[in-house]
Order: sequence, then C-alpha cells, then structure tokens
Amino acid sequence: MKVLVKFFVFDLPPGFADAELELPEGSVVKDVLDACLDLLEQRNVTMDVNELKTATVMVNNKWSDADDPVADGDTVSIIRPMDGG
Amino acid sequence: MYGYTGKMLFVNLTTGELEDKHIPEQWYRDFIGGPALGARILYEYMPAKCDVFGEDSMVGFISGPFNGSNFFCGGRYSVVSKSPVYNGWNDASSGGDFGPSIKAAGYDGVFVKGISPKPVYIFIDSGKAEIRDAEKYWGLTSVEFEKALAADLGCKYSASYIGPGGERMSPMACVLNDYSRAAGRGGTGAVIGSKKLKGVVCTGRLPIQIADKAGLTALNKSIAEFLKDHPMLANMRTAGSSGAFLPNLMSGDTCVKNYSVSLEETGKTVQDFERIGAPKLSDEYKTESYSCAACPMRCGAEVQVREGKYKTDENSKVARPEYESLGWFGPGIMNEDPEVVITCNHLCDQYGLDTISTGGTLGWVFECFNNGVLTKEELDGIEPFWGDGDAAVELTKKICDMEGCGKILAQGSSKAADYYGKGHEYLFVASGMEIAAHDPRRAPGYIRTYQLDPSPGRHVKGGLAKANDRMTRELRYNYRITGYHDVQETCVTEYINASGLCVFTARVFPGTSIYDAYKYVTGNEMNKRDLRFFGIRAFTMRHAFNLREGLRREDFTITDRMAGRPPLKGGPTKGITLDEVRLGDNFYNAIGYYQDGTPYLDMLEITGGLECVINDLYPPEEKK
Amino acid sequence: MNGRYSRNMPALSAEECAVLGQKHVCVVGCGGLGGFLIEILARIGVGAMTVVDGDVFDVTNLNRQLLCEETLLGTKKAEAAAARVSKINSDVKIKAVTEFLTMENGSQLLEDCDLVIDALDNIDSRRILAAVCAKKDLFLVHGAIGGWFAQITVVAPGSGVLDKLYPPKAQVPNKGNPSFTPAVCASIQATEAVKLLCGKPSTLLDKLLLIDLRTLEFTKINL
Repeated sequence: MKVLVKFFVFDLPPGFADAELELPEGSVVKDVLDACLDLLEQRNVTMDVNELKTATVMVNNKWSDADDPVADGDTVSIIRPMDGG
Repeated sequence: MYGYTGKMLFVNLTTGELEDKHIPEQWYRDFIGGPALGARILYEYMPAKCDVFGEDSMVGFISGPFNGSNFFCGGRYSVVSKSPVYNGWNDASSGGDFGPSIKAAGYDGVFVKGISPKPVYIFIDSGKAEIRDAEKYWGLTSVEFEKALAADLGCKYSASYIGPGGERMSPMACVLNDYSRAAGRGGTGAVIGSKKLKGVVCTGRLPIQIADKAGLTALNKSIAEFLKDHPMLANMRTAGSSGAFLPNLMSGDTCVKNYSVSLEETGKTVQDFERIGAPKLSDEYKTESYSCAACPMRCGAEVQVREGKYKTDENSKVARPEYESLGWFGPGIMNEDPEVVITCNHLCDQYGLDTISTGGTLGWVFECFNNGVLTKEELDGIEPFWGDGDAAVELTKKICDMEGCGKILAQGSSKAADYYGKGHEYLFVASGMEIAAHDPRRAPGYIRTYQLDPSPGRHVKGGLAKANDRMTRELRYNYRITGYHDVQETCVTEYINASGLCVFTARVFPGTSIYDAYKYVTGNEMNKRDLRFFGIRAFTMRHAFNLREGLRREDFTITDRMAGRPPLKGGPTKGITLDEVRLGDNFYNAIGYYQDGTPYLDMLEITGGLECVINDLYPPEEKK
Repeated sequence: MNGRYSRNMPALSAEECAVLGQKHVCVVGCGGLGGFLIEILARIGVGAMTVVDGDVFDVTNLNRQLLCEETLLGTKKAEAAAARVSKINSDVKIKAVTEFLTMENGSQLLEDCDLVIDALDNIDSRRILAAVCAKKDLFLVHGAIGGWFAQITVVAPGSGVLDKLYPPKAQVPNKGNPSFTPAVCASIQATEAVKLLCGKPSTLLDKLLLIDLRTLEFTKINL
C-alpha cells in the first residue's frame, strides 16, 4: 500500500518534497516513521531520530498514536513540536 | 573605605616574607568579600594549574564587610583555595568569632603561599603580623591547641587553624575556629597542612569604620523586633539545626542507609531516631548555648555525655552535632544512638575533619560491607553492620588517626573506592565530594548546585533548591522556569556568603534589610538588580577559576544514584528520577553561559568587573 | 471617538473599537512573543491587560524581545511591559504580575479576563495554562516559535488541543530564535485575539496554522 507523508516544520532542506512511501499491509504509524528514517537517509538528510520519533502525527487530519493503523491512500502529517516564545 | 580595613596580609611561607597589600578599591565594590573577593584575588595572584600542595598554591582566610560591623548574623568568614578533592575552586565558610577578629586585628584577609620548612602559625596583633614557630602545637587536637594557645598568649584571641587531619593532609580536612566551628568542605585544611601552617591567630581591637552607624543600629533594632515573634528564633535558640532533623527524615531529605533506600523501606520509623533529633537530643545532653559574633540566634550548643562508654571529657568543649552530622552518623548508617553521633562528631571536630565528608565516607563503608563489597579483613577486623554505633566510632577513630584502613578512608569515599577498586555504585558524590544530608531527589534543585557550583557538592550555595522548598510537588518536579529561580537564589546566596552573613538566618530578615545593611556599613547602594549582577559576577568569578584550571562542564560529575537512577522504591521520593542535564542547561541559559559552561562575552562585559576573565576567555586578538 | 483609534477604522468598525476598549486580555509570557503582542494590543486599544512573567531580562533576550533594552538587563520583564504600555497608551489598564504562572495562582491571575494569550516558552507551562483556561472557561490563543517556524491556533476551553500538539514525550530541539519569527507569530496571534474579542469568528479555531518562513509556506491543518 502507499501512503503520502508530509513533513511540517522540520528543518529539511528547502524543496524537500512530500514523499509517497510503499508499506506492507497492516502497517502502523510507528512503521511509517521508521520508513521515514530510511527515506531521509536515502535523500542524505541527517536528523536526530528522537526528533522524528517524538513528533506529533496526524493521519488524514486526525491525531494518531504510534500504534494506530494506516491504510492505502492515507496522508500522514508529521509535525515537529516547537515551544519557543 | 567603610566596612573594610582596606588591607590584606600576604604571606610567603617559603621565604618568610609578609606584605601588607592594598588591593584595588574597585575589587571591594565588585566582589564585596568572602568567596567572591577571594576568587578575584586568587585569580590574580595564583598561577593557573599549579600543584594544589605546591609552593604556588595559595590559601586565603577572608572576611566580609559585615564582619565586625555588628550587623546581625554578619560574623561569617571564608577560607578559599584550590581543592585537593577535585582540583578546582574551593570556598568554605564558618561562623564563630574569627571573622570579626581578623578585621579587629587590622586585615580584611590573609593570603598564604609557599611552604614553611617547619610548622608555623601566623600571629597578627593590631595590624602587625609575624610568623611564629608552631612546632609544639603540631599534632594537637582543636581543644588541646586552643588551650595551649590561650595559656601561651595570655590574651583574648581568635584563631583559624587545622587539626591533625589537616596536618596529615586528608582531603576531608576542614579549617577550625572556636574549638568546633568549621569551614568544613573541600579539603582546604589539607592545603593549609601542606604549607606546614597550623593556622592564623588574631588579636587586637582596631575599630571598623561604619558609614552610617545610627542607621545600622536602627536596622538591627527593627530586625530584633521582627525576629522576636518569628518561629525561627525560638527554634534556632532551643535546637539549632538539629531541629531540622526529624522533619527532614520524615520528608525524605536525610541520607537513610547511605541514600540507598527510603526510611519506609528500612522498616524503621522516625520515632526510632527520635533521640537524635529535637527536643530529646538537647534535653538529654545540652549544657549551654553559644552564638557566633553579632548573632541573636545562639543556635550553637555544647553537650556532655555524662556516663557510659561514650562519656565525654568534662573539660573538653563538645559541640552539639549539626543537622548534617546527625543525618550521616545517624540514619546514614542506621545508628539510633545519639551518643555515637556526638562521639563521632566530636572526634571530627578535634581532629579537624569535615563531618559531612567523614560521615558520607562512613555511609559508603557501611553499605559496601553490608553488601559484601568490603570485607572485615579490609576493615582491620571491624564489622560495620547497619546500625552498629561502636563500629562507626572505631572507624572514625581510625580515620582520625589515619591508621590502618583509616589511612585509605581518610582520602574520602571516592578515592577509597578507586583504591579498593570497587564500591563505586554506592558512592553519593559530586566531583568526588560527599554530599550533605539533603537529598536531591526530594529537592531537585540540589542536583544542579551539587553538580555545577564552582565548589561542587555543597548544600549552602543557594540555587533552585531554596525555591523548591516553597513549591508544590507538581512544580518541584518540573523542569520549566527553573533557570530564573536557580540563578536568583544563587545570587542571593552569593551575596550572603560574600558579605559575611549566615545562610540560615539572613534569608528570613524582613524586606530590604540585607541591602540596607550593606549601605549602612559600606556607604554603597545595593538594590535587587545590583544584587543579581553581583551574584552573577561572584558565581562567574569562582567559575572562571575552574575554567582556567581547564575544568569543563563534563568534568563536574554526579553519581547516578543522586539523580535517582535507579529511583527509590518507597517513601516520599518513590519513583523519582531527575534530569540534571536539563536543570544545568536551564541554569546556564539563565545566567548567560554557553551550554559547555563558557560565559558569553557580552554577558561578562555587561556584568562588569570581570575584565580579567574576558582577557583569558576572549583574548583581544580573538574578540569578535 | 478619539483620533487615537481613527486609523483602526474602517478595518474595525467604531463599535468594534468600543468593544475592544471594554475587554480584558491576559498575556502570559513577556518575552519574544509577549513583547510584540503587548505592543500590538496596547496600540489597537484593548481596555485592560494583565501581563504575566516572573523572569528578568538577560543578554540573550536582546536579539528579539521588543521589551528588552540594554539598560533593563536584570529587571523584571512584566514590569518593563507595564512601563511600555503606560507610555504608549495610558487608556489601557495594565497590571504586571512578576511571578510565573502555576496551577495555584493561575485561576486568580485570569480572574475577570475575557481572553488569554499564550506567549510562553516551554511546554510544561503551556500545559498548565491550558488547564487553567479550561477551568476558567476561557479561550486561549496559542503561539509558538522555533527557528524559521511558527505555529498558531485558537484553543477552545477544554478541547485538549495542546495535549495533542505536545505529546507527553515531545522533544523540542533548539532551532534558535531569530527576531523576525516572534514578530510574525505574535502579529497573527494578536489578529486572532482581536477577532475573538470583537465577536468575529476566529479563522484558527480548531485549526493549526504552520508557518515556514524559509519558503513562506503557510499551511492550515484542521484539528
């Protein structure tokens, strides 16, 4: 199955595009994040693993936890928390 | 110059030279006195990275402006040096009469370098100083020394000196005055011993110029009025710091079983230790109260054990143990007998050993033995089972005499663990310094102070822990807004220590009295903002000494147990693990340092008075 | 109508300006976001403001905090905010609270407020603020920044949005705090605040606006 991953407010290189990931059936949010790490590595982007793993995730605009399932065609938004003021 | 004599005595024991030194007046303004001014002076006159026991190593005895001013509770002086424990900055302070006496003898401080070929002491009488032979005093305990000195001098005097512990250069050696008062921590006693210096003896009654005597008298009156009905006054008068013992034991603050478990898990209750705390301790043993100079509290007391195997010598002055000693010689080793505590404490006082370091080392030995890490054979046949008071006294005697295993244990728990090659998991130390009986798992602020104060392992350096006491549990274990409180409380404490005030009492003084007093004594203004800048300057000056020694943030270590790794399984602090890294980050952010501990250049410039630090950290050619 | 507010119009109607003058806003945090927020709200003419911050200024604040001046280093941020407001608009009743917000003092601090603005700088404090707002049934205009990024949302009382935005183990890497980011974020927070105070619908209720200033992408996500 395929899911569309969007990164928000990560310090990715400008122009870093949203990515379509191919995942096995029955994958959950956690698997999407793992796949993202591979993706980042492929695109030569270094990122603190914790930064990604502790981010907020929404699947189709719904808050999701690490163990929530994802389905074919879902849009997964990964939002890095920020707290400055 | 009001509030000061304006004169420092510099002594070189190698050459026998004595010099009256007038340090820049601005230094007094910027650093006030005590540890802060001491740090500025050592930064100037002591070369970086010198051998702590070498000729260049310096030790200072330094007063503050309130010493001798008669401002309430302004009688504390400090000793400053490099520490033989962690090879960084050390300051420790003490009450009694020595602080005012040094000024009445004509000096704001005495700074000593070099090594004497034979034991000597420095004698100062009304502005005249000399080096005197101390051969006959070498090896004497505090009581013996004070008595011999009194007989020989035949006049009123006050002395700051070492006992046999310092002479034998134990890193746990303290600096004594008035029999049992001690600038205890960090091993400055050993540095003094390495110089073959028994101590500094002052006599004289030179007056101190006060800017506004009437103002100060009126202020004292208003404080007296305020304190009259303050609960602290009654508590301090009757119990001193021993009054804190039972409440602290209950709250999870005290070092139960070498900090390994909560009281609850030992199967014991607070009642089991009742005789060690107030009021029983004083009811049973107290003979009389005494106070430091200019203090209305009278929190000190003498005790006597009138009978039994721990009967004390009636001719000896025996101090009632302070809270920290009660904690370590009591529940720290699960001892319930107050006479054991009094005996161990008195041994330390006589031999000039810090009771916190000695007690902390005992706690470590007890835990090692009970967990089969140290054996009877390694401890000269002593079997320190938990709660065995006799074993505690025997071990303390061995440490005092530096005999057998005492020779190793007198190096402190950290070095002893290295020597034996085991027991490191039971250490409760910051940069090798044993910790007072205040558990950071109860007041997390302590972990930052224990770790990152320029004199690590101290409970008297203010910091967030002071604010923790006012916080609800929810706030105490939070890591937000810690930087501001941490720096603020540190600044107040820097001021208290520098000016010669007492951390116990000055904090409760009403309103702006501790600033007002500064104005009345020195004629200089001080407000809240000035205080903050002073505090940051003072901290940074002491910190800069460490930076110059090459010490960095990673060199200031704590043991995992201190941060609750693993957490306790019971009691009020059950399950608590601290994030000391974040507390340190927050503190450095708020005080204006990079995360590695290097101060920002503009912070140094704006704080002012730190040109010497700027020149070292940001040499002109590298300045951006 | 005073000339002072004539240029608010006709973007805001005279009635809306009058309504604003009756409102009491609490700005929690007087740092990067708070400084700009307080400035904007004072100038547009809210009736009263409570500004809350226990901290003092230090050198690292100079690059971005509108209220921070070299001569004010070491002084309380909330006091500087009050001084600034009384200089630019004496119509505004200003109350400075030089303490940090806690669960204990929170309810009292927000007494009589119509709207609360989150200009804090750490997650734990924000959680506490959201909890107090839920208790007091107050809307909260949340803003947060980090590096080139900003986020703004309007939190209905008790909606739990902040708990979602900040999962329990959220880690926030330091991305710096350049001066332009707080200005953008605060400006949008103030915009939403004014809408809410005037009874207009807020664009960001249950929506999260994410701003990437590197690309100038503004993304609204439905919450």
